[in-house]
Parts: sequence; structure tokens; C-alpha cells
Amino acid sequence: MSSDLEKYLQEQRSALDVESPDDKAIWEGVRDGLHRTELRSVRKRMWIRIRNMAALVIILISVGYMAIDLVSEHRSGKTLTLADLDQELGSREKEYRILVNLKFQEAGAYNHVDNLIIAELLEEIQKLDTIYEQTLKDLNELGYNEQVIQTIFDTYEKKIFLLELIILENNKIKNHENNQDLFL
Amino acid sequence: MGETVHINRRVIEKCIEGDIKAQFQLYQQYSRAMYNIASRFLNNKMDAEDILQESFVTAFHRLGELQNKDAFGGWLKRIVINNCISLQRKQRVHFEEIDEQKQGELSEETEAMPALDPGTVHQAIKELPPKGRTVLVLRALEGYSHKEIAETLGITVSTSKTQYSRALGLLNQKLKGTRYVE
Repeated sequence: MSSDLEKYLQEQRSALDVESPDDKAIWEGVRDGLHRTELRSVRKRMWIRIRNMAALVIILISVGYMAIDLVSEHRSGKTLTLADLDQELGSREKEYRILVNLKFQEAGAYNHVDNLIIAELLEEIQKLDTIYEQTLKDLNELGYNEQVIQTIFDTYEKKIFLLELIILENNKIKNHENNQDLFL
Repeated sequence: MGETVHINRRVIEKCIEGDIKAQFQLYQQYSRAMYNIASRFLNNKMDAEDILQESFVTAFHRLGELQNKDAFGGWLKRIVINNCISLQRKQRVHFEEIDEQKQGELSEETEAMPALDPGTVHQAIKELPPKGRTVLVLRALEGYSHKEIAETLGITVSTSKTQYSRALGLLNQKLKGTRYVE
């Protein structure tokens, strides 16, 4: 009989579905369930988006800081000169530097630092060097700026003028010494 | 059959897009069959309805993952059966070994097959003990092999065979004397 029953169950499989579900109530439940699932999915997607955006913001901030650091490093590592701004200005500055060096060599040949006038003049040159350093910083911060460029060239000219005064004073001392030798 | 499959595929594609009408159409097409499966497994109207609802929500939610859209029916049935088995486990139905001697006594009956009414058989199946009922439904009605039953329920093939044989014997006893209706 068992094998007959098995055969019956197989043959009458569809006919055994005799019950009917409460479709209206179950379908309402399915819709509610789908709505809840959809809400959960939307929330999950929203959280993923927020998390991604937060990560992106953090990355951007980090990159920003890195970029600022790099620029600052670049600026502090490489000093901007007049040649970087304009070739002609660079050439002019180069000429001034050569002249200043020559004047320094000439002034340094006679070392009379114990002379009060020369000492004062050297002090003025030191002040000019400080002004020059400050002006270079301004140039690096502001970039091309007429006033700053003019100040740089003024500094060179004043320095040359002061060096010439030192040379003149040196010459005076030298002449005086020579005269003394002559008298002796 | 080909036309039905074609319609299903179109309906399923609409369901994936979130078309409520298509979802309802699919629900109507399969709800009765799935409900009867759940009802036979659980022998409880409320549990069966809960499983049906939960299974359709899962199916619609995961429909996009279904590779072969033509296999929707079988896929949905798997979801229903798995949900039923999960619920049975929560209800602490354990599919452990049974007394084979007792089972032997039941299966030895060789009375002639009476005429049977499908409604009566359906009801008789529902009244079987949970463990045997599950194996019987899986084997005799849903076409699972004993190996598949063993894997699904976490039992041995031998236990599956024993449970099945016992359940079939019990069903046989219950149906004794009933009349078959054409």
C-alpha cells in the first residue's frame, strides 16, 4: 500500500493544494514588508553615500593640507629672485651685485674698521642688508610689485654709495699715511 | 508552457523594476501553491501565512539576484521550504534518529489502497508528526532525494529514509477506510 500511496501522492500532487490563503491580508503584509525593506535599503544606501562623502571630504582636506605644505616648502626652499620675475630685472640686479662685489673688494683692501666714520658706514650697510632681506621676503610673498622692486634697487644703490664713501675714507686715510711717510 | 515562461520573464523584469502590479500578478500566480506547501510543513494557518508573506518579500527583494528568470517557481519554492524548516528549527523540531523497530511495524501493513479524497490526504499529511511530515513532504511531494533531504535538514540519509518510511506508514494508517472522490 505504501508504494501505491507514494504513487498517488506523486500523481495527485497539484490536487493536494486544497487550501486558499487570505490573499488580501497577505498581500498587504508583503507590500508593507517590501516598503520596510526598501526603506532599509534607502537608509543603507544613504549611509554609504554619507560615509563615502565624509571619506572624500577627509581625503580632500588631507590633500589640501599636503598641497599647502608642499607650496610652503617650495616657497621656503626656493627664494624668489628678480630674475624669476623678469629677465631684464634679473640682469639689472646681476650688474648691481657685480658692482657691489667690486666695491666691497675695493673697500676691503683697506681695512680701517677702527675708524669711526668707516665703522658707522659699515653699520649703515648692515642695516641696508637687513632691509634687503626683508624686501626679498616681501618679494616672495607679494610676487611682482613695483614698490618692492624699487626698494631692492634703492638698497643696492645706497649700498654702493656707502661703499664708495668707505673707499673714499680709506683713500683719505691712505693719503694721510703716505703724507706722514713723506714728512718723515 | 513556453508562453507562460515568456509572460513570467516579462513580469519578473517588471517586478525587479519595482512595478507593484507585476508583483501582485506574480504573487497571485504562486500564492496558493506556496501556501499549501507551507501549510503542509507547519500545520498552522498563521505560521503558513507568515511564511508565505516573508517568502514573497524575500523573493521580490532578491529577484535581481536570480540568474535564470524562468526558474522563478522552483526558486520561490526553495525559499518557502527553507523558511518553513527555519521556523520548525525555531520551534525546536529536531530531525534526530527514530526508533526503527516501531517504524518497521508500521510499514509492514499491506492493506489495499482505498479511494482517496485529495483534501483528506492533505489534512492527513498535516496531522503527521512534524519530523516525519517534513521528510514526507520533501520526498513525496517536492521531489527531493534522500541525500538532498539529509543535507537540508542536517541528518543522515539513513535517518531520512527511516523518517520517510515511518511517516508514509502513519499516513497510510490515517487514510484507512477513506473513500476516493474523482
